Amino acid sequence: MELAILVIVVIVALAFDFTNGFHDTANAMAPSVATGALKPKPAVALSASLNLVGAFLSIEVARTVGSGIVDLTGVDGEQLMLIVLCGLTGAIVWNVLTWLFGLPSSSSHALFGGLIGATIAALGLSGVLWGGVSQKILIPALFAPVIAGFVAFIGTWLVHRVTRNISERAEKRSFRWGQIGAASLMSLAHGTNDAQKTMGVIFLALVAHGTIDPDADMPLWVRVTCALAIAAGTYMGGWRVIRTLGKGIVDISPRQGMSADFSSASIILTSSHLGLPLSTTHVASGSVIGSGLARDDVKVRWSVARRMLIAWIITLPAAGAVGAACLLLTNLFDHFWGAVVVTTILVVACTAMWLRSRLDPVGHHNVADDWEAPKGEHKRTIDRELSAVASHIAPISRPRKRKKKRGKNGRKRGK
Amino acid sequence: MFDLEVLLVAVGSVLGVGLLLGAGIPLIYALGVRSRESGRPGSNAVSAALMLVCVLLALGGIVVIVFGDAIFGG
Repeated sequence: MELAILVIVVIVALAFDFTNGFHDTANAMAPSVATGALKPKPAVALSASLNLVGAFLSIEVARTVGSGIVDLTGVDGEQLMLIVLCGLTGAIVWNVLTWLFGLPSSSSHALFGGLIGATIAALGLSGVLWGGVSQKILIPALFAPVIAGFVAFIGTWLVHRVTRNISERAEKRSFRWGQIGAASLMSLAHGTNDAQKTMGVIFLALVAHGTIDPDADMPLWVRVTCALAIAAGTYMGGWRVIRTLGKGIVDISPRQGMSADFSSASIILTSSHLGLPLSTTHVASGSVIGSGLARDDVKVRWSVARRMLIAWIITLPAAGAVGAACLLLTNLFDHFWGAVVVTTILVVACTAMWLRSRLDPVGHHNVADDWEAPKGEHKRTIDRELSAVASHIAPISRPRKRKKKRGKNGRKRGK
Repeated sequence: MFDLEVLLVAVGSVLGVGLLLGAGIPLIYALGVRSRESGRPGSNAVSAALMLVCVLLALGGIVVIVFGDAIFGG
């Protein structure tokens, strides 16, 4: 039965890796898609290929996942695998839910939150290493978007100063390649950082099962499957999140897109090298906001940014709550059936959310549409809807024009 | 468990490299674009050289960050 639980954990971990790629395609490609530097489909194909390559370049982050955040010493193998499974379930549910709402939230925080919640449910508060949580999750969550925003702000400001006299046409033509290069670097950086997190989780499960030694090297099959899963997820393209990050926060220009992507890529590559599991979503979103702030003529939509910030704040507790609830549920069954029940609930929840997303589809065909419909179009839409409602009583084929009121002498009233 | 010194070093490194590469590469690229658009004699060559510097910096950054420990024995 222990082997069956291990197989379930590995499959669910790869599913998390898939949702991670799916959710985070936006981090690399949203600016390029939004500015039209790349068409949506080639953009996700390029990003998927580079995520695949990036996954093989570094395993520094994989070594840090789990270590220093939860204390699982003394937990027996099956219980440890259940904690990992429930943590992954919390992370996947949160990832899919935030994708449904088009919110770029952190897959890393969802994963850590799920693991922390499941550990608390299994071992109590003493099972969590709060010092490690502060150092590896909470404080980096605060500084990552700020640093990324600052770097992108400086980069965008400098680029605008240098190229303020070139025409819009020249800007679009000249910065297109810079933007593609920066987005490619960002995809590579994402592969070096995020694919590692799932590798770390599978490694933890393999150690719990006793398949490998804690000091062993990362098995090749783990690296290959994780790289393929994140690349496949990236290729699927989380269009809802791409739309929010590319068009929702700020109407990005090619110069801004390039600066934002270079800022994100340099920060993520450095953090991968240092083994710091930074959230690529926080970095990418911070960069987009920073590049928006660097220009006076561009409006940052703070309402969208505020929704995103709320999602960031509740990611850890929300994924943790789902993880904890799943673990408490598994206690009602034996370990194997507990794992089966949790996995079934996960599949049902994800299917329900996917079906809900079909009611309001966002795909490669409409991902780069304007965020706010022009006022005239918006008014016409409301008029059409009102006409449809009113048609049961008095059919109205087209909206009526309001007659101008005139005074006795034929002039308009008032003025 | 909480090591403030390690954290500060990490934050400083991320900020330093971020500014150097994250803001530096776009600046050099922009200088290359301005040079090409200026239409002055030799501007295309200057522009190409600056673009090449961008590519080399990006590749150098990847090599140092990914293979830094192997190269420098870190």
